This record gives sequence, C-alpha cells and structure tokens, in this order.
Amino acid sequence: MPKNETVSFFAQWAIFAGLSAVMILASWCVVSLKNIVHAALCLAVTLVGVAGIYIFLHAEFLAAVQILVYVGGVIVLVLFAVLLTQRLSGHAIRLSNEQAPAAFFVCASFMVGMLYVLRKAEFHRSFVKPASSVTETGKQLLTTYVLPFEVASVLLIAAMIGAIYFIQKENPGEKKQ
Amino acid sequence: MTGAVPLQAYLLLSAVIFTVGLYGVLVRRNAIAVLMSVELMLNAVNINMAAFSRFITPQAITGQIFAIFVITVAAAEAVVGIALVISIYRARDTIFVDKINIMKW
Repeated sequence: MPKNETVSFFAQWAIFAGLSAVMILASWCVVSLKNIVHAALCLAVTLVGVAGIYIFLHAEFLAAVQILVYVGGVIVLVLFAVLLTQRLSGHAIRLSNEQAPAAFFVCASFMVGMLYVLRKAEFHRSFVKPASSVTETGKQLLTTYVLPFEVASVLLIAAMIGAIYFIQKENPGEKKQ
Repeated sequence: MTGAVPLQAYLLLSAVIFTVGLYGVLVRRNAIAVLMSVELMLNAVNINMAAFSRFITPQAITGQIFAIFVITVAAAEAVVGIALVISIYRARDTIFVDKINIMKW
C-alpha cells in the first residue's frame, strides 16, 4: 500500500472512531443527564455527529437534510417544549422510573443479540463507484418515488394541522374574560 | 476515498446508539426525554440505511431515499408528540409518563 493511502486509511479510521466516541458519549448523556436542557443539547451533538457519518458515507444530501431538519427544526422544537414545561425539570425530581434494572437487562440482551448477528452476517460488498448523492436523489425522488414524495407532503400538512389543533386553547372563540 | 471503515463498524455504531435510545425510552420519566430517545433510535436506523446504501448498492441510492422519508416522518412525529405533551401538561400539570395513567387498566 503506498504511503499516501496508508495515511488516508488511518485518518479515516481516526475520524470515524472520534466521531463515534463523541456520538455514543452524547447519546448516553441524552438518556442520563438530570438537566433536560443539557440532554437536548447533547441530542444536538449526536445529530450533528450523524450528519458527519452521512458525509463519511458519501450521502451529502442526507447530511444537509439532517442538519436542516433535525438540528434546525426538531432540536429547536424540543428546546421550546422543555422551556414551556421547565417547572418540572428541577434537580430534585427523580428522572428515571423504577424499572431501570429491567430496562438495562433488556438493552444488554438486545445488544448481545445484535453483536451475535453482526458476527455471523455476511454482506456482499459492491465496489462500484457510488452515485452522486444530490443528483441521483433528485432524479429518483421526482421519478420513481414521486408518489411517496407527495404523500410525505400530505403527512406534513396533516401533522402541522394536528399540532395546531392540539396546542390551541379549549375554546378559541371565547377570549379571556 | 476508498472507504477504509468497513460496513460492520457502521452497523455496530448504529446498534450501540439504538440500544442507548431504547434504554432512554424505557427508563426516562419525562415525556420530552422519551421523545428525544425515540429520535436517537430513528437516527440509528438512518445510519444503517445510509451505510447499506453506500456499501451494498452504491449506484441505486434507495437507502438514502428511505432515510429521507424516515427523517420526514420523524419530524412529523416530533411535532405531533410535542404538541400532545404540551396539551397533556396543560390539562394535567405533569409530563411524567408514570403519572399519566388515566387510561391504564
């Protein structure tokens, strides 16, 4: 292997390992931190890490969508929700239920099962040059997947109307007297 | 970039994040924290989609398209979920999922 490729090999592994470590640490913080605002910020770190993984996987369009939708939209939404219910997120309140040991057991057995499957599985890796993410995604979304694309827009409108309906006060016609 | 990191590494990363999210869903009391853990799980699945798309079928990017739809549905889920949580908070003054047991049999 030429020297240049060796360097690139190790650089890729180093970047991947660093990114993974940050993501796993941040996701653990999401489920364990006492302060919900800090947990939401850790979720943002994890989502940015996922975008980095997408770039690593030659899915640049997906990375852009991830940043726009998750970090720009969902995180802001979650932070708003946290601030609207802030009174409950004090430090004295118990944050996990009494089923933590059982949950830990379930998760550990799930992880063991996944490791077993991963060790056994064989994948037929293809070495074809990957297609350009943006071009190909645009083409496919407007030809092969145009029906799900349109259904997704209907779903988003339905979600928006539903959210507005849930959020509104009981009797919107009567103003406060 | 020839791809020094094998597919299994991505799958392992995704499995770990999914497991952490699952633990959060099972353990957290705050409904918003539960929603955040669900987002973690969905993201882990999306990593799998993108990884399979890159390593198994690099020319057809079906996996990436699927991930885009998963992101769309996840955004809709977050919107409706948080609206429900805030509505429950208004009605019952709590968002702890073990206190919201009015429909528990």
